[in-house]
Amino acid sequence: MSGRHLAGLRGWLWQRLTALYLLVYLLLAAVVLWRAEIRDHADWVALLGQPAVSVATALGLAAVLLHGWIGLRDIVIDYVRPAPLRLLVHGAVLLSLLLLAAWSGLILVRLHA
Amino acid sequence: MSPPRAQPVFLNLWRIHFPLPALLSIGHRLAGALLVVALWPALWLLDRSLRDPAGFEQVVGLLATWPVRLLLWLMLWLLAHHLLAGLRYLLLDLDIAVERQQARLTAGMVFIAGAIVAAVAAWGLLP
Repeated sequence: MSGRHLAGLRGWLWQRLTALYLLVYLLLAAVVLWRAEIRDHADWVALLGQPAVSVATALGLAAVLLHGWIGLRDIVIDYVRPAPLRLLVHGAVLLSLLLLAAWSGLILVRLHA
Repeated sequence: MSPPRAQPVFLNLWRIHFPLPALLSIGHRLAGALLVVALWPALWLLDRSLRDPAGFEQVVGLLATWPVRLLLWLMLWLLAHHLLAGLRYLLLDLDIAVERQQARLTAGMVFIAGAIVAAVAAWGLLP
């Protein structure tokens, strides 16, 4: 098996691992949001500021961005034909996901600042 | 030698007949791509709501308007569809329901289950 094949297999595995994490996170988030009484800003900050919630959310954001990167990469590989254009689209997708990652980090850091 | 059969060749996407699992696959990809785009407004709402009390009230107010609720409902539908179709792929990975008849059946089930989730969400979200 060549390195290229291994890279494909790694993507396949991460896609599934992140999917399973997101499934658990979303179900838990739905239950927590359903049961929590969020009346104002202070309640909301207190809920998300709990260490467990913050860590789970940080992992959730990382998982969704990684999952999105693998999925979008597959779509671009399948549908964007000319190689230079494909490279350009890959770059644009990666850049936008990195911006989202930086923004996510900033939101969580500010929450604890 | 018999002449070759005159087979219709449709490369026109609107004339190709897609089996249900193919439509599900396209829907799964489309929903996934749209959900990534939706991360931008979602992060904005999270950022704004956490920033200060005024931002929190602004987000609460926005979430009460019907265009935002409609979009939120659409995203929930896409998410339910994407998630259920994804679970089906995980089952296929485990060699469950790989045969054509079963694969078509489970594809149909995903479409219906996604629509049911959307209907329940509409109950809670839309006026």
